[in-house]
Amino acid sequence: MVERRPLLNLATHLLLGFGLLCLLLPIWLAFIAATQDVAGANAVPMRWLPGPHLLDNLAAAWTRADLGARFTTSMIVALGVMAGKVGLAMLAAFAIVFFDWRAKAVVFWLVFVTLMLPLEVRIVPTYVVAANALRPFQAILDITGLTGLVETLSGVRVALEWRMLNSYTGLILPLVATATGTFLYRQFFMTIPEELVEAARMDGAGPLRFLRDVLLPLSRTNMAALATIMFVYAWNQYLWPLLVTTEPQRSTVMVELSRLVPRGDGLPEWNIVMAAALTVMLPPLAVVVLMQRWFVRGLVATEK
Amino acid sequence: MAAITLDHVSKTYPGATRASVDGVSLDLPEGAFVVVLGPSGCGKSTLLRMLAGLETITGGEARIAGRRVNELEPKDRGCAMVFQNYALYPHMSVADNIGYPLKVAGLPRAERAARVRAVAESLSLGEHLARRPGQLSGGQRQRVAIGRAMVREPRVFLFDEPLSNLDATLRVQMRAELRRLHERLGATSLLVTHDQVEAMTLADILVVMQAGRVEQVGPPRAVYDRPETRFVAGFLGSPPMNLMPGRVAGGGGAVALEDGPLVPLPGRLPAGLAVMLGIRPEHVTEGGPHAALVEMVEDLGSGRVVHARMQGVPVTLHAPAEATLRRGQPLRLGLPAARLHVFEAESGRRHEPAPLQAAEAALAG
Amino acid sequence: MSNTRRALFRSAWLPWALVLPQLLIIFVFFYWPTGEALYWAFTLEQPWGGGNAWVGWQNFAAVFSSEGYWHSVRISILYAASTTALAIGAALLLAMFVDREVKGSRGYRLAMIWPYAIAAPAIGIIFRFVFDPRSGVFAFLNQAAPGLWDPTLNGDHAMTMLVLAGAWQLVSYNFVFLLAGLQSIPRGLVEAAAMDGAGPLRRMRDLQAPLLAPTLFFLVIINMTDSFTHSFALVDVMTGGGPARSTDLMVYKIYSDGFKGLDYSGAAAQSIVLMLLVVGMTFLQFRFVERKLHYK
Repeated sequence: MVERRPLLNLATHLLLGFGLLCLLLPIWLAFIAATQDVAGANAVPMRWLPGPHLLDNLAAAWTRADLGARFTTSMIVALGVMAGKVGLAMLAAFAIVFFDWRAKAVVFWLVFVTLMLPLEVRIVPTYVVAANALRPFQAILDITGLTGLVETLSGVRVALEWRMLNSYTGLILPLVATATGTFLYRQFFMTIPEELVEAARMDGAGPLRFLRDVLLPLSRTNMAALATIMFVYAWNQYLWPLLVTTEPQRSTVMVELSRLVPRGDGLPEWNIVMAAALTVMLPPLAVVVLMQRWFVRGLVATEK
Repeated sequence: MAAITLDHVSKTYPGATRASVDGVSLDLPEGAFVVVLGPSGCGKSTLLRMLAGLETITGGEARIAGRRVNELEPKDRGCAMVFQNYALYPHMSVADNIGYPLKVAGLPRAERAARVRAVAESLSLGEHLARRPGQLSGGQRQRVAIGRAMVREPRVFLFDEPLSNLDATLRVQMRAELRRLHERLGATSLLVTHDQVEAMTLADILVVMQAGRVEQVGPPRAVYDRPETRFVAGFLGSPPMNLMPGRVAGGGGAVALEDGPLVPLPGRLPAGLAVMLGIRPEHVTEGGPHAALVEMVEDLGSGRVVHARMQGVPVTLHAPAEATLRRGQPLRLGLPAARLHVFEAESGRRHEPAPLQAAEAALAG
Repeated sequence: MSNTRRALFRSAWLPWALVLPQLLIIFVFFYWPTGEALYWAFTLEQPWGGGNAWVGWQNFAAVFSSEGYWHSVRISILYAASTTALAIGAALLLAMFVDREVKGSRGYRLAMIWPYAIAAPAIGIIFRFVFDPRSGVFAFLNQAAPGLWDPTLNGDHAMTMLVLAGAWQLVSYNFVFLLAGLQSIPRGLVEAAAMDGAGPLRRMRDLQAPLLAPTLFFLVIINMTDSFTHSFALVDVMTGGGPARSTDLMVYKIYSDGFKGLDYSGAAAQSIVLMLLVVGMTFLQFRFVERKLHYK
């Protein structure tokens, strides 16, 4: 469309530039602080240009927060949540969309309802379950009186226990327990023409074969989109790892980052804290920047 | 032995009050090209899909080569199907698409490749084997879909409106190709369509369906020349047959058209019977006993279609391209008795006038 | 739900096997904890053991009669409303101008998206540094006028800081949706408005903003729920609920009452209230989604 508005274009650039500045400024200030020594980071008035201490601060942050080990933990958790979501959600959505079974609607709603309540609002009981993941089953046995029955019959008291605190399963599984991915796959599967399923049936392919040969390859872009979202989501988790990892040597980067800032009135060593903050936000940043297309697509698609 | 036998086959969807396919019985001979023709929603696709195994049969029995197939999985019925929108796997190459049924069946790679190549060559798809469906034209996709059906060497080919997604020129071309293919392979083919030209040109046996029931079965020419019901008469032919309501009069030897003239019959019918009198536009003659007025003339290039009114009765007729007819112009029409079709108004069934005695005929003449 | 698909596979056990892993996980980590929260909310642990005793609405009564709780509700609403308004307003402005497709708008686009990737604890700590009254920008201001800015002592300052950090985080998310919404407006419509003589600013006001209404409504709900539930990390690393409980948001209070105060029943009752709030808003959104389908 031909529309020459040089003034408005200038205003557009100014406005967008200002917006960009607001978004970038905190990061820039953090970066400056991460290149100073303690005095430089706390200097009044503050410095606007980088100093020479970036590598020292990074090294100090790395050892002080034990970031090597924390990165490994966070990476395993992020990849675990990602793989869990991408895989389990696909199987569930496949069953919900492509099978004719009576419980279909019920199962769909059971899964769908989990979209409504984020982990934060049920945090206390979820923590108690993580302390013993078999607690629900134990409770069922107790309530139905089966525990007593087994005890009188065999003399053994059933005590199911699976402690998940300080474990990868404890960090990962509760973060997988929502329907985000299932819903995304369902929406996508609904767009697959029926004839494709019929053709596969005529060609002799059963459901699992259809899943592997047709659905899986066709879902690649959606899987990538979901994977990027889930990686960022899991890496950036804070409350749950804070609760589940009671031993410091088990925690994730985000929890460890917050521990670098002293509780109470002590002045933090901002230069080192900022170096650590910049380091731990790199992996999801890289994912979003490098996989921008998938990321935006996933973001829009996971919200109904 | 019949290749396909349908014995009172019915389909009622759960919750539906009416059957979508209502007790269809057919015997289709080995190697025939059978076309099922009907308006959309008449149950023809459901019938095909029941045969394929994509829909469950809720009543009656279907047999392929004498074997009951009601409970068999689609892959075990010996049918291959070509879908309206081709249903090619978009992420597979042409070769992989054609070879997929063989892969599922667990054939060794080398044999698969050889058979895929042979099929592809016969459909002149040889150069496109490495392409994806998205890179092919509509006609080529159609051929890939046919190839995927052929490669299994099925006993029966099922086609679900296979040409309706193609543009007009390509459709004519593919129609001829389908017929040649059928002749070469010799398998039984069942094709479903709503396009009567397709039906007339392809079929050895034409099956006309309406509202879940079979209206008529026979060679296309016979169905065209002697429609058994008023529905078939009106559905087959373009422009459609003139159907004019009237009542048998003149002692049973003629029909008095409603708001129109008295038309003599080639035979005798019960007097007073309410009927539909039918005659195809190409059989209405210019020059005859009935006065009419031209209302509209459509030029088709090869000829003209004239819409006229005979008193209150609208009549369509063919006229040669050279005819100089104009709106409002009077003309005289003839409705030759031998070309008339009579359908009972109430049941819609064809009524054959009883032949006249020679003396009567002389009198009537 | 689609019951219209005909081409379905049939099997008595396979679909169950396929959904079982997911069902198991959501049973253990979603339904059971949610149920347990309900149970705790209506019971109280006995001081000398012997399990929980049914106390009816007593826990809720205790929560609702606490001035501290109502304070928490008020500031949570204040926080959610200000964060949402700020984040959506800024994102709308940015999206509309990026949509003008001036030179370099692709670059702007990417530059607006990345903040979504920054973790709440990281940005919380960075904002805490930037707004630290003893160093950086604000120390300079405080030197000129002592006491001008101090989020560690002044609750309003702390809340402002929290809102800015929260909004900073949400801008990118909103931007992505608003830009997608703008780009889904048919090009012909914009061109028709231009032919009618409407300039770019006028088109934004008369055409694009109203057509974005559904997206905006959706974002308001999402931003509000997000502010109610995901604000924990920001509060924890930036203010710890202080000073003097001035930033003790609902989700943070549940955490501190439950895990620090070990009052499971009180925390459970608060959780139930928060759940109802979130579910209520989600329902609003579903109703709206249905309506949106009718628009099309």
